[in-house]
Amino acid sequence: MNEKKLIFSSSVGQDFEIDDKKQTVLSGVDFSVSGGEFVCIVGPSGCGKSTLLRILSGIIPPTSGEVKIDNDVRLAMVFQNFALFPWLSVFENVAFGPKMKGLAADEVEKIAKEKIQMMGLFGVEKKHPKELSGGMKQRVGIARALAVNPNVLFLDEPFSALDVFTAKKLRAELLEIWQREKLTVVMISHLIEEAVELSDRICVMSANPGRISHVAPNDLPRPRNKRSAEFFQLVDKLEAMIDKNG
Amino acid sequence: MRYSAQLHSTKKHHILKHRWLSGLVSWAWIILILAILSLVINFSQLSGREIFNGFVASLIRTTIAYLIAAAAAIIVALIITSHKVIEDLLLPIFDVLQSFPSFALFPVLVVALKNSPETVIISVLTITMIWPILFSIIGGMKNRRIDFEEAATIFGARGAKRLWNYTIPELMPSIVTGSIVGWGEGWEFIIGAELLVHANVGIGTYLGKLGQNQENLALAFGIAILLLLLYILNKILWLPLLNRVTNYSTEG
Repeated sequence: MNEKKLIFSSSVGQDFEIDDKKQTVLSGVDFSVSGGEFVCIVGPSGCGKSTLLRILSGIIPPTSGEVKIDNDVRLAMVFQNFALFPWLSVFENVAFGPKMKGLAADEVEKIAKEKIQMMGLFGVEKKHPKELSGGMKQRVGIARALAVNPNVLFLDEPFSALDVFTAKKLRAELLEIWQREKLTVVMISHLIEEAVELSDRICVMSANPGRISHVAPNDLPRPRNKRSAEFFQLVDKLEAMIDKNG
Repeated sequence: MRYSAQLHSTKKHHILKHRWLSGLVSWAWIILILAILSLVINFSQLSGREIFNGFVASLIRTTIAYLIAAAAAIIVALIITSHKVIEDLLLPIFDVLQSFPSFALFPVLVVALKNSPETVIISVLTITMIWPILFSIIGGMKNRRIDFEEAATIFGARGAKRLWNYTIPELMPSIVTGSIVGWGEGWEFIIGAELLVHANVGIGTYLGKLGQNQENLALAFGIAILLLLLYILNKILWLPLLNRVTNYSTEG
């Protein structure tokens, strides 16, 4: 991990207008992520985790406050419900980012093939998303994200739509990719165990309005033993933080 | 594993066989209908050549009007849904305009374009066909999945590339369903339009001539033939397109 802050937010607030009523979703959110760090954002449903991720990624502008994204950031995102384009095959979905970048056709093909191979999707390249299982769809989602050669990867509850066995396998693969590719990862999760298993730092959010109420560093040695006393202690500590904030 | 692979292969083979059979049945139907058509034309007082020429002329007019209407509907729908203020301003206007009968514009168009009956017909058809396509696309834009939109943005889809690689493909189900309705309305209106401008050739002109000559049986056969030809067109063009796009409307 290096100390260079790649993404930084200061006093970020977000209001939405619902049925002509202003609703404050986020208020005074300060957040930063350094190069190579794995940060998890946890919190109860509706606390604005996904909204914060979209603001940090630049998809939606904040109503107040500011977000600074380093010029070196190459961002990609993995979505909760996969967001694979149903009119494209697996190969075309993975090739989408490089194609949009305007790379030459043979370069696009080379990158897509490499990521398909990396994510174990060999043999399903010509299939369409609806022909795949949830686990395979998320593998395509990760392959599509990696195809744009990112140095920052955002994941919005990437394993919540998967069964426990598939989620466990993909978590292990994500860790492997993070370490091998030296990525910076910001991941949204509603599972505290998942956050403790994966991250270097855990930001706990509270709701109404959404804000980061606690930040817990996670220094547990890797690979993490999910049955160790330290693991359970950190999980309990985080649960207590969330319970305290309602 | 081997059993599973074998099962998968058998299932795939079954699906392929089923598709092949279904395609064969469709074509058998079309050939049967064409055979019936030629028999009807042979045994009635109808002129096969006039019907064929009339249908082709009307088909060309409808196709040109459809292409203009579809392109205009896509552009207008994208403009309307680009910003809430534009939507609030334009949508009520278009809502009133769409209920305005196209034939009411006929006298204006005839006066304005008196030297070009073809342009009058195509203009009326375009005005008729544009509404279902436009409102279907606006509906599609409002119901699109926000995470698709975000994925397209994150992965760098911008400008013309975004339009061709994301926006149009995502809107295809709405474009096709709107087009089917618009296409149908176009055929409904072309008969009247061809009669009103006294087009030299066209299925409406031909049917009008039969009606004027009080050849009632031939007129009934003529209408039946038109319906069958439109059925064939539907079967080979619109239904396969609809099947293709509804397959990917929400999954992903």
